[in-house]
Amino acid sequence: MNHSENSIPPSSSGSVVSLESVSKWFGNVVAVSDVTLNIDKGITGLLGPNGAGKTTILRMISGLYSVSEGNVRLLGTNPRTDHSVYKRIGIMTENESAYEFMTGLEYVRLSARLKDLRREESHLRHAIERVDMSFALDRKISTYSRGMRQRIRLAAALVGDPELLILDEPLNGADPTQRLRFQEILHQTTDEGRSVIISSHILEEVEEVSESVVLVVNGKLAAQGDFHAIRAALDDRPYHVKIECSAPRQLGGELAKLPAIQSIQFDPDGSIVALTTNVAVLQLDLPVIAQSLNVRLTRVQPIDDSLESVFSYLVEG
Amino acid sequence: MGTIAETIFMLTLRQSLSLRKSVVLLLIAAIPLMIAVGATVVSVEWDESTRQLFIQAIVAYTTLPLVALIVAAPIFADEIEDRTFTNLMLSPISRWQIAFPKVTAAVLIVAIPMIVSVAASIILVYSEETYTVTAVGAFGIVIGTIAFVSLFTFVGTLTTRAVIFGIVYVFGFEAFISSTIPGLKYISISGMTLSIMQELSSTLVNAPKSGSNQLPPVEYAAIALITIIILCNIATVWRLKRMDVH
Repeated sequence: MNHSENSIPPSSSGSVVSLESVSKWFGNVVAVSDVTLNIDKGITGLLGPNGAGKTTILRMISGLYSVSEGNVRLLGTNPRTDHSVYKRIGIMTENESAYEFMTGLEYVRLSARLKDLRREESHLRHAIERVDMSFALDRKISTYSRGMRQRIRLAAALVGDPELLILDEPLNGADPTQRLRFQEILHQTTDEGRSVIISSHILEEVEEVSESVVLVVNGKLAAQGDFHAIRAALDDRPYHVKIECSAPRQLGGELAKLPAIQSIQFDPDGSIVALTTNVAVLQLDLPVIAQSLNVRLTRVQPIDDSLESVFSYLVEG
Repeated sequence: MGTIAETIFMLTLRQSLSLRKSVVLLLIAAIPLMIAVGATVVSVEWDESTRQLFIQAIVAYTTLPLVALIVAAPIFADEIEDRTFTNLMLSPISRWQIAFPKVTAAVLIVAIPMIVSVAASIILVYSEETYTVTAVGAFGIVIGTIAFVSLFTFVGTLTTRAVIFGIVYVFGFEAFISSTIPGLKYISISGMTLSIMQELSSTLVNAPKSGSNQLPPVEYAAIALITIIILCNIATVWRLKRMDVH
């Protein structure tokens, strides 16, 4: 996918976050390099493999990190100098840190007080009920499971109904039920006119909650725009598929005749490596051809389906 | 509902006064009192030299900076290390409004047990001018506490190993080197504090007029202490403004 062809032209008007030529380095290590992007209202997914620079970008957006070069605007202000912006945002950082000696209620109350919220108790109740943590309010955080800890931290971020939620890998440790509840909360948040930026290294996780994505690879912006356009481009990319069967030469010869197959290679271990531009067609045709040749398939495995390879493809494309 | 600064103040008290930390704090702060009580029980004769050894070596050069160190060094360092500091840094207030309640809480946590311990010790050790000597001792504890807490708090924003730095500083510099090399009392917080206490009560502090234990002039000591307190707190706020919070 070509970045310029597939990205939605960012609009500066209505942006909740804008980064202009932003770079960040730690000593000799460049964590983020020359990123320019605008994030509009709604839910935006920040997607990239581990170590891509997502957390660094979110921390620069939040004002927790300074920028080495460039400018960051959060709700129209510089968060490093205008701290009043923190009244309008809720942030859940990647690490699972919380005050272990506090109960869940005390922790969320602390978050409300640190935002200087009026009508504190009503805010607390609302935020805690949203994450379904009313049952464990008076327990110490040190006794919480990982998922409960994430939920109480989400409640702390939600308290006061902030205009913008910034969530760094919030689904770590969440079970499927919690994931569904989490999606509901995010959709409720945007239905109320608020915005969310959520980071993840799992493609499907972001796909479930956001339509707009920002792809980051090796500290650089790889693509930005509508999720479905990017996903379609991913579906069209060539994949390597490894096939183990009882008669590789015979099956390989037939597969090579398929239009969806770009090339066939035979590995020394006796397996076939097929390069296909249409995995769906191969999935349908492969069992039929094998059956017609009376070849027994023992294993079919996409060998470059990792997120890293997807991102590499996007960058190189 | 209190202000954000009150919330940070109360949070700092709660963090610093866990059961384990409180026990360690009280045990160290009680060292002067335990020595005074022990000496009284075994009928030690408190002459001028043993009194000076007590108030200078035990109280000013060792116990006070040590208590200040164990309280002040972690008030930022621990939160930075366990990554809860983001909670404070994401609050909508200036960075000095984060630093001020933390430093204030640390000063109170150090000063109160130290004043109790030292005042009770002075009553046992000094038989003359007891009220004046006790008041001056308490005043000295307060100014020394503010200076040491300011210094160690700043160091705690620079490194999570501030306690190690502090132990080397307290036992290496304040307790040993500054008392062996003439002139180094001019850069010793304990030396400056003792100089002010000596000016207010020569019964309480009576240092030699020459040699390595000679204290700096009181005018210099007062200005230097105020300068240290102001610079360390400015440096702490400066550090908070510029740090990357992980």
